[in-house]
Amino acid sequence: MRDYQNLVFSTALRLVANAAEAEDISQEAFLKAFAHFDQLRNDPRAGGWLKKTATNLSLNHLARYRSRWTFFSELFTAREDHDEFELDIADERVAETLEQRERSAVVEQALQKLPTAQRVPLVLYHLDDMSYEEIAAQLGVSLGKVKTDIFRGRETLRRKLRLIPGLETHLR
Amino acid sequence: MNLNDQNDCELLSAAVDRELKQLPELRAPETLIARVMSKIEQRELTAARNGSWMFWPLRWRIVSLSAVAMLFCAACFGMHWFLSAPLKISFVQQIDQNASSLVFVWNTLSVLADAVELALRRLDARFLMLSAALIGTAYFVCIGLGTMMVQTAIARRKHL
Repeated sequence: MRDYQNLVFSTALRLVANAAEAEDISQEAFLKAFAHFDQLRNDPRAGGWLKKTATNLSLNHLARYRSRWTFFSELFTAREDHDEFELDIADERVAETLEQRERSAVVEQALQKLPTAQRVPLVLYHLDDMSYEEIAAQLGVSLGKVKTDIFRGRETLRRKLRLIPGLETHLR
Repeated sequence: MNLNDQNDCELLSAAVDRELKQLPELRAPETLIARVMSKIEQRELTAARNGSWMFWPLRWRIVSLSAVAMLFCAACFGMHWFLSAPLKISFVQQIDQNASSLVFVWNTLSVLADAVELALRRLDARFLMLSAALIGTAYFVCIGLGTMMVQTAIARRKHL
């Protein structure tokens, strides 16, 4: 459990963007793993199984509120144009000397602040290596919507992370 | 979408992909493992309650076995103490007294039975048959009256 707890928690948190819910989902994933303990015990694919389980549980959790965030996805997109998003960067000097760890923290924060409709397909595409078709099937939405939401998610990340000098060149 | 826009999208996709894949794993809360283990133990306890003693967790089996052994020892000790000399005598005397009362009752019943047998032998057969018929009739009249009264009471209750 210690070997995979960070993997499972990261997977859940990046999808649900709520630490308490991610912990609940992680707990559920490990309980399911315990039910299959004999099969997973010495299986090198245990990590992949846990990640997949955590992903499915997270999506099931989000599905309960899907109608809400799907309906308002357009509204969130419209609001972002006027949203003065502020990252936790004190001044330019701090930003200039960002180390990888701090940079990762900023990217992580920007990712979690994305609207659910954009964040979920973005994470599934880039971190779970799912195709557009698989994501559409998983979320029960059209292919066009998946592509649109992923495109908007990337644009939102670019817009937000543009505040960080150094990252700008990577995300232009 | 023109070629520049398409290139821009591809570059952006690659850049976002690179940034996200470089993200390290987030640290899980320290309470996670404890919560999972607690839940597993809770489920095992519930299963044990619903299952037989052989499937109880080892700790619970040891505790229950110790409790039964202690009860057994306490019962043995209690029995020995109860049957010790002073108490034993008074207990046996009590039984003896009760037995004497029963013997008295038995003797009385025996005498009554003998009296009935003597009366049956001495009395006339026709008298005995008439008596039996009267007793039988009285019995059935009582049953009939009792049934009628019960039905009347039920009917009145329904009416009310």
